[in-house]
Amino acid sequence: MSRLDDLLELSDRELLSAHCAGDADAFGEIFRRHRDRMWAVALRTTRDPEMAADAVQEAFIAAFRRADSFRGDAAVTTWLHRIVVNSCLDRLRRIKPVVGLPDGDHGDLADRHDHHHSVDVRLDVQRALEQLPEGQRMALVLVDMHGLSVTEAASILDVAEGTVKSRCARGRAAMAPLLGLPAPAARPMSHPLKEPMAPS
Amino acid sequence: MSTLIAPRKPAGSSPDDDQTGVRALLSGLPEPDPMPAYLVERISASLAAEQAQRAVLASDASVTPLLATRRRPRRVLFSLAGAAAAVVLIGVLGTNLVRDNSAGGVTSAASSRLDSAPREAGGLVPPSSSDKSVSGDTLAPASIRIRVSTVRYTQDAFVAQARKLRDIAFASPQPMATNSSDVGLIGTTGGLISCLNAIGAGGAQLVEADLAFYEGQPAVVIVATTNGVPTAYAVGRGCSQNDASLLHQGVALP
Repeated sequence: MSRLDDLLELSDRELLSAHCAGDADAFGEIFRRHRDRMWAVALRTTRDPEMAADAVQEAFIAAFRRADSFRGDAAVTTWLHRIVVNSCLDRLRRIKPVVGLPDGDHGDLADRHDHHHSVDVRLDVQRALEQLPEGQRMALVLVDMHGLSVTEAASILDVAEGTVKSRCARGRAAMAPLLGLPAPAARPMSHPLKEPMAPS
Repeated sequence: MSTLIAPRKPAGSSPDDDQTGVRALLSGLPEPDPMPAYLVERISASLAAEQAQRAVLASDASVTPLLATRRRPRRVLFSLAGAAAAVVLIGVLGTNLVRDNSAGGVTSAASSRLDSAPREAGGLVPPSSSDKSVSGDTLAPASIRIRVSTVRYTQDAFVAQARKLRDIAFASPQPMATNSSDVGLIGTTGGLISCLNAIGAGGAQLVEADLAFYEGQPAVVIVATTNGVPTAYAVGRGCSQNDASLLHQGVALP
């Protein structure tokens, strides 16, 4: 069995442990396994390929250096997500400290495009997401777009699970009219876009 | 206002999760393309540079056996907070060294953390507070080196593989490696000494331990050198004072 085969058989946790103990190849395998996922998260968080590239590079280097800070109370992938998301948010906050929806600009996105045009849909979703407060946007990116559990998202964002659920609900309620979807019938959200910035 | 696309509920989601259809819409969006090749190369190069830097630090931390050099005063030069773990090179203050100052030596060790880890040369590292299994009358080896690796030792190639272990440059102490539940007490100096006693190698002067795999199962391969004769063992990671968990009988290395 080759060296690479050995690495392929190890769990993320074992790889990280081997990396911490000095194995020269273990982290490379972690990078290989998770790079596409982390790239997707970075891209969807920053919505800017150049910024996403810098953020994900910085994140993997930070993970390499700080691997011994991983204590095993979460999955390695959750730990990586957290590092990537924080790297992205740090960069976003440097250039754009506040994200909010301008008054009176809620309804024009959905009317401009053929609803069968997937590129337009993607652009509209992106534009709608951009108008959400950071906390709501990140909750939707992680839970709805990346399919993470509320528990995982809460761990990544370092907030309570209830906070993630609340942000998801508010974010969806805010996005629905922007995308031409029916607003929720029950439990209407009051000021869904007014949530303050999430703590990092 | 028109609807952009027909909402599609993601599999497994409860209707109560989202009445707006936004979740279905978001989950139905295509995944971004894989990380572009240029970025894979860029990050790989950065990680390779980090690895090279780490290797340099690790080589700086290579071991000088305690018995060969002058012993410095027994002051604690290392304040490795997590030195309980002591994965690579920890000179254990053995009873024999305490009794014979002239036979003391210098252990060079360093944390491989790239930022602010303490690095000092010289001095002895006392057993850490977590090494509770070290009894007062245990004859501790002069030098213990522990690492975690992915090497898969086999019965057929055991001697050859164990010989290589002696030539490996061990990396620096990493608390995580030994705090991990995947490793256990055997990853600590005290735990390893207990195991050595259990397999009858408590009198070794130099010990190298590789937390790896033997015949496909998690194991520790130990090369214990007593009076210049190295002997290799494979034990389970549960090896302790009361249970040797011997997987491969001790075999003298040529």
